[in-house]
Amino acid sequence: MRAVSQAAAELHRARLDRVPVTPFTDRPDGLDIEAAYAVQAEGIALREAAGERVVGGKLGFTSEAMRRAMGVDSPNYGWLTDAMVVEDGEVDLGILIHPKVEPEIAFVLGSQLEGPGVTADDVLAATAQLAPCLEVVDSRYVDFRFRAADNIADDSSAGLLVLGDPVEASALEGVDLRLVGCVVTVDGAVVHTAAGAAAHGNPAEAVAWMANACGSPLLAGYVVIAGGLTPPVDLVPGRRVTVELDRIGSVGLLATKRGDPCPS
Amino acid sequence: MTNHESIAEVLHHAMRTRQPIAPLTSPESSSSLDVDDAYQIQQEMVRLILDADGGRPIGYKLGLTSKPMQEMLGVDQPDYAPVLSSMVFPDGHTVDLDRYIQPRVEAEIALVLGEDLTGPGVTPMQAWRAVDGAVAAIEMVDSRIQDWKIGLVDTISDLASSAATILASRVVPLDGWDPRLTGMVVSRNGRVADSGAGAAALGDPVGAVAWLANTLAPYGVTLEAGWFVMTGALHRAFPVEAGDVVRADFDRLGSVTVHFTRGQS
Repeated sequence: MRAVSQAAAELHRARLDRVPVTPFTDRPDGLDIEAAYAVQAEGIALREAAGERVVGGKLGFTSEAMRRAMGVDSPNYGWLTDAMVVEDGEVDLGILIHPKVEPEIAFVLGSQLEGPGVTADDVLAATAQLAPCLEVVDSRYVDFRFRAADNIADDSSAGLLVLGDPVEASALEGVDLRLVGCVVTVDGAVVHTAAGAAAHGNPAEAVAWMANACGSPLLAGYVVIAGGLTPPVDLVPGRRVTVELDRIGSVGLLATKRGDPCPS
Repeated sequence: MTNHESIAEVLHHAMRTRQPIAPLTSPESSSSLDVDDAYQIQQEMVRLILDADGGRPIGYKLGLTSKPMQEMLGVDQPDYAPVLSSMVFPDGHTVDLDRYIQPRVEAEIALVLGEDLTGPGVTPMQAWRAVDGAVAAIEMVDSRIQDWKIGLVDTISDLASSAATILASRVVPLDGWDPRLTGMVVSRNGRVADSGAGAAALGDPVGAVAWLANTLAPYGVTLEAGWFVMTGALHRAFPVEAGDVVRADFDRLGSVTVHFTRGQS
């Protein structure tokens, strides 16, 4: 247990200081998946103790290509706090280590989801709104290199999120989220396209997976982001990235670097 | 016989015998063919196919519409070729792989023209008005060049690597939706293989039609009412094997399926 607390404290410090650490799986004691989720939970507790509030969840490794690369056969999950939500679309790279950005579909829950046995249909029934989302992922490990367990301990590489205006789920009744088109542009040029199925075959399935796996209820009002739909885009100062999601909406961000970032 | 005719003969022979040839413009070869030569060779190849198989042009295809493909071949523009009626098949068609060399498949949005479209100066808005609607499509590409070692001149000469087009039957009017954002999931034997959206084709499939009309204008070619334009792959093309079933599901357009077999001819 002491090792878990130490790992959580180390990652917490890495996040605050923006100094990446060596993956735990590269160290003599290693890290397994179960312990990794314990580290993640302690990390969230440290952030809550610092005044942050959990506002939702996120899925990782929702693409088969990514899972194959990481040698795992299921997605993973992490938690989002209020401090991670970017309000004005300006992402200050100075508060991150080596950020990248991925387009996602965000589910805003109108009622609670509690596993086991949650299905994609249950997720759709519990969803009040859907929103376009740019997730800024970041890793607290050196060179963005890690194994599956490290990634879980590090809150599934959660960084920041930029949410666009939501659309009422009732307006999308009958829409197949697997087929919703996604277009990512960088400085106005299309760099990636995808459809909803890129997230775990079906983004609603991805959210159901988290509800069943995470051991605590996903509360009404939570925002759950269902996994990256395209490969990530690197962020450098001055870069503008947008995602357009058919039927759902669009959102953009501007990467900036302020002179003297001030850690929270 | 001109040089262009003889090269077209070689490509056409490779197509019919399924024996691929070396690249036309390898560093070792002494030929100095440029893009204009390549389109003239393509025209000769079209003539040879029409003479051998009958049929007629019923549309156009765009190739090299994605940034990664353009970067791979060191170009900043797409290429194109006529689509010939002998190479177009209906939804559910079974392709005999013995008739091809090294085919790959890619799902695309086909746009059907309701009016003639003649460049130059065609704007995306004019193209939008000329388009009757969109159709779910799968293109099977093939290269008559060994191991797909193609340069720009090779692929243009080789009918833009065309092999077969599988078209769904439903034409969906562009009414209140944008093909740029239309999502597509392609599956192989029931498993998701890849996904994409219309913007993968030159940023905008309708804009791609305008580009084509303008590019063809100097040659006196009009995109005719009733023709369709294959606007470009929405994902990375992948190879197929006998027994495969490839299906593309498009938002709003429905699906199109193609089966692959061997030894039916």
